[in-house]
Amino acid sequence: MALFLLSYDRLAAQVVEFAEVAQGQEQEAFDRRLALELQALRDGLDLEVVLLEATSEERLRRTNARYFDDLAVLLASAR
Amino acid sequence: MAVTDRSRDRPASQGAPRWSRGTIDRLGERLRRPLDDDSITDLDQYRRTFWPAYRAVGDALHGKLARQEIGASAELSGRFGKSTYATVAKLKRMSIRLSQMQDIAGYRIVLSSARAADDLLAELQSLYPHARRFDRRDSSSHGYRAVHLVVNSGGWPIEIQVRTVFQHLWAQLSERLADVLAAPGIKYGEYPTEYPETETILAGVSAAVARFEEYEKDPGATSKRLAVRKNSLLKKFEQALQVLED
Repeated sequence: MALFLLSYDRLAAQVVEFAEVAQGQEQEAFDRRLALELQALRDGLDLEVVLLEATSEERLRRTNARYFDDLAVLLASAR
Repeated sequence: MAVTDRSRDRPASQGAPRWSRGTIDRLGERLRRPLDDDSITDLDQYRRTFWPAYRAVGDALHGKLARQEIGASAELSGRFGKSTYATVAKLKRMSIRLSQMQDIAGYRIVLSSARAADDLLAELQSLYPHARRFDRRDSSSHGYRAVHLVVNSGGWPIEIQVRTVFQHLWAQLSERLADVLAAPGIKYGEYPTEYPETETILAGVSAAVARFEEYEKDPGATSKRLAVRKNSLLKKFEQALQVLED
């Protein structure tokens, strides 16, 4: 499974940062998440910063379609 | 190669976490107040303690799905560490203590049918016999339908959500609507007054999913009728998506 760091602006309903975490770089990803959450506090933003796992980015977009506005893609995969 | 989660599913009294319950709950109280750097940093430190337990459950699930025929159609994903935003929102919305929060880290498995979901749940309950089960298909939570298991992995609760593809689609639709309508309370039954149709649409689609899955499990169901019902359900989702786009 691959790990992804995703930062999502809830008010704008859009992803503002998205990156795959290289293997062995989990602690750096935790640090980055904390830094983003602290910055969001200072900026007064409703950021949702999450670490998500899936077997691929394509699958992540299905398992967490709400972040990517890919509901139509998800619906197509349900057919 | 078989994967064994050696820490799996101990009774809650075993495997004491490094953080005491009192320390965790005092942090929870601080998070209910206006946030500062210290409370966010402390929550992050607490969240990180879940990593080994989260990994152990993930490895076990991955191994289980790889060995099962059902695994071919199962979509496994994980979320490590509930975001500060979501954690604080939950603490403020409910009277729950931080130490009682069971979804700090977890996995989701999406299955192609209701029957496949039931089969997998039986498998998971043999893997985690002490898991607590929350069947949200019976007591629908404002339209949300799924089964959640909470396993104790070395003292840390790890949540496993089991959904069918249509339960998952509904949940994603609900979350997306909450975001675009700036109405985070939708999934708790707080619908935006300026969009009164939201409640009817979500309730209607959820009920349609429930009826479809009931029929899926009916021994008398024919593939032809199932296909017709599936098309009808997909149309309901398409209509709901159209509302979302409008």
